[in-house]
Amino acid sequence: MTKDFRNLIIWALIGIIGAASFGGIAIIRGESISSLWLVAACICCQLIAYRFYGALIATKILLIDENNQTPAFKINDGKDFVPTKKWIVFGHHFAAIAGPGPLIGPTLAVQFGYLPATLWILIGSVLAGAVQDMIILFASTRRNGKSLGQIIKDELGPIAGYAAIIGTLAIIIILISVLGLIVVKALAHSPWGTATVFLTIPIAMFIGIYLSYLRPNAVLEASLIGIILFLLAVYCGKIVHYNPALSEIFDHNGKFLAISVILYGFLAACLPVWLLLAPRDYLSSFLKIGTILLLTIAILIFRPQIQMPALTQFIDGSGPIFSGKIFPFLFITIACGAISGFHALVASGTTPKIISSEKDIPLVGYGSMLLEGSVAIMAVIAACVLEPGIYFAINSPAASLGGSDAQTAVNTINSWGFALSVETMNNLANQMGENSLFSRTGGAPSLAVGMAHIFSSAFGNSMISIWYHFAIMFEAIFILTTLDAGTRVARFMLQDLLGNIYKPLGNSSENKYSNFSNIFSSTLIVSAWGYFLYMGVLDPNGGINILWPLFGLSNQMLAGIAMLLATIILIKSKKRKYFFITAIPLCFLLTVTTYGVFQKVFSNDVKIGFLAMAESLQYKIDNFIISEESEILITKNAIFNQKLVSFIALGFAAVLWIVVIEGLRKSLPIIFKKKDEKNSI
Amino acid sequence: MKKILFNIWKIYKSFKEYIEGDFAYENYLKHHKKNHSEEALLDKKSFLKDAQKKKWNKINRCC
Repeated sequence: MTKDFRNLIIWALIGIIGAASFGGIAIIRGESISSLWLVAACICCQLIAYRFYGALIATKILLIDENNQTPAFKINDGKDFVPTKKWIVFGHHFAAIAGPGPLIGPTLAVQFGYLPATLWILIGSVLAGAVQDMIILFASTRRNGKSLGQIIKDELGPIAGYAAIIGTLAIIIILISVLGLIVVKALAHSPWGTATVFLTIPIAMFIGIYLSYLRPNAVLEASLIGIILFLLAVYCGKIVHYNPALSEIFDHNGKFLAISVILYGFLAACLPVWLLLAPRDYLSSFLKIGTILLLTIAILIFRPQIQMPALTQFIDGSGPIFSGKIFPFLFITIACGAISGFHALVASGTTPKIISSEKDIPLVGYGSMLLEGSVAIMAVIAACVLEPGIYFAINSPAASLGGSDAQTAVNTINSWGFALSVETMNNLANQMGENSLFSRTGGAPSLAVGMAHIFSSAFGNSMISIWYHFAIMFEAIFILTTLDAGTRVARFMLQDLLGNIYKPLGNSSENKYSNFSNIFSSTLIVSAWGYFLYMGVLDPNGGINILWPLFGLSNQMLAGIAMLLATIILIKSKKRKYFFITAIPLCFLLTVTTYGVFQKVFSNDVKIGFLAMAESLQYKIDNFIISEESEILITKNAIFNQKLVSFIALGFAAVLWIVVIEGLRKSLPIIFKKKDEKNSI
Repeated sequence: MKKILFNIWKIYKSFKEYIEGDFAYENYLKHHKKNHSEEALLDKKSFLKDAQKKKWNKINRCC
């Protein structure tokens, strides 16, 4: 009884603090608020969601039962299926789902103000994202660790299954191209950043050799050495920056860097995993957890003020960073952090094969998504502690600022009502050890400035440029790991698909031509994402405005597919009456994705609609506004690209609706005829 | 206090065992002994190399 009473008091307190924080956020207007309000609201909201909503779904709707043997015990094959301790599974799952996405999306979405992004991350992660992750993890655990694609094939038929696989392949390609673009944008004309990131590659290889030959499998020790070497690389970058001769070697434009990233991607895909990918993955996982912890501590010590208004005028769709109204574009821009379809692939991958009790599912499925949501909130805070003028100067492409001239850019930003001067920007660039911070699109530089600001305020001002470049390196390593891993997975999936058509292109162990097949498929995959990456670099509006929404749409499409599967599984179960817990987020995702695709393709606004942009470019050619032959060629290329991305966006909507129609075909008879298929959860 | 420190030590130990591959290899040894004792046994290095190669052929990192 006393224990119950104590629990009651604790949860009541958490509730009161959470409600007070939300109240504070809602009431304080016109003056800047402390970021602690956001942190407190986020933590209380998530604790309550985990303790009550997550637990409710797990115990009352999914009916988890610790007496059920999980596949890890049932199959225990000594390789893939291995019963593992709860917190290790949690760490494994969190490391797998948390990539650069929840840091970049919120940074861009803050152009609407801090409130929309914060609310969407909290509500989305609690009611949609974490629910999706947990139900898919649960479904896969009950089905002997089958993958999302296989479960869809079983439940919804082969057409839906193939649609989901092709959709997944498309997401990976778009994801890699947009991440590549972010790295290119962060490193363009930044000798310090370029030198540091370049150095991390041989360092990771050295750690790979260390782990394979010098001290086999001493992962913790090697990671510590690796992280120290990475920090040294940041310092070496500083030397490069202040040395004119070296600085020139590492000062490159976007095109050069894009080609380097593409070449790197191809070479990395051909290297064995132990040499580069696996060691860097350890390093980036440790760095991520360490940096997020450090950022949390710094925010708690420094309690920075939020400079961004709650809402900006850009909710009307005229945003400089990406165009489009808050609905649907907020929900596309922030995918990871609120709900991400990609998580469904991870939740039906290794995790269900190693989880040792169904009792661990709420922590691993629901809990780790909430943690990712709080990472996204940290990114919101890091963007909002910057003065809005600085935030917009860094993140807006030159085309939105009226040109690449500093004074013009500052005038444009002043006309939006945000104070800024050229001097401020020059000082800031100087402080950070960069040549310029105007129009450094992609989100990474602005996040790095925000993090540097928070870190240096909490831990001393002298190292601000080191903090900035540490943050850039941290993001770049993450992105390069995702790029490598993604290329490999996409190659494998492509080989699987091609192997069905023509055996020598497959990846079976008996294939005599496996080397040829590997190189062939890698080339196809790298060319595919390389094409979009290069297209993004050439785009005068910065490329992010095309590629990031496309990535968001593809991710929400996959989330829609996973939610549909979850809904059908619930409809078929004993707890049919609770199907709305996934059906409501599903309807929301369907609306957002379909409306988003429609807007991106058919909107008459040239800043939003791909086809409108293509038409306006064609108009320029037809009316001889552009007359130089080389320019006409570039424009014709751009027209082709706008049409290509329209086609891809429509493809995403098509894949989603094919799966929905297949799903309805399967589930409607069950709903109406009350055909009894219960217990098949 | 002693108990807390002991728990932290235990968590560290099991984390280290997991990440350095001892845990997976021991599990493999147990499984092998029980089910396929007639087949050839992989040594630790080649077992872990195999597992690592397979790990990166599927989706285990996200956006």
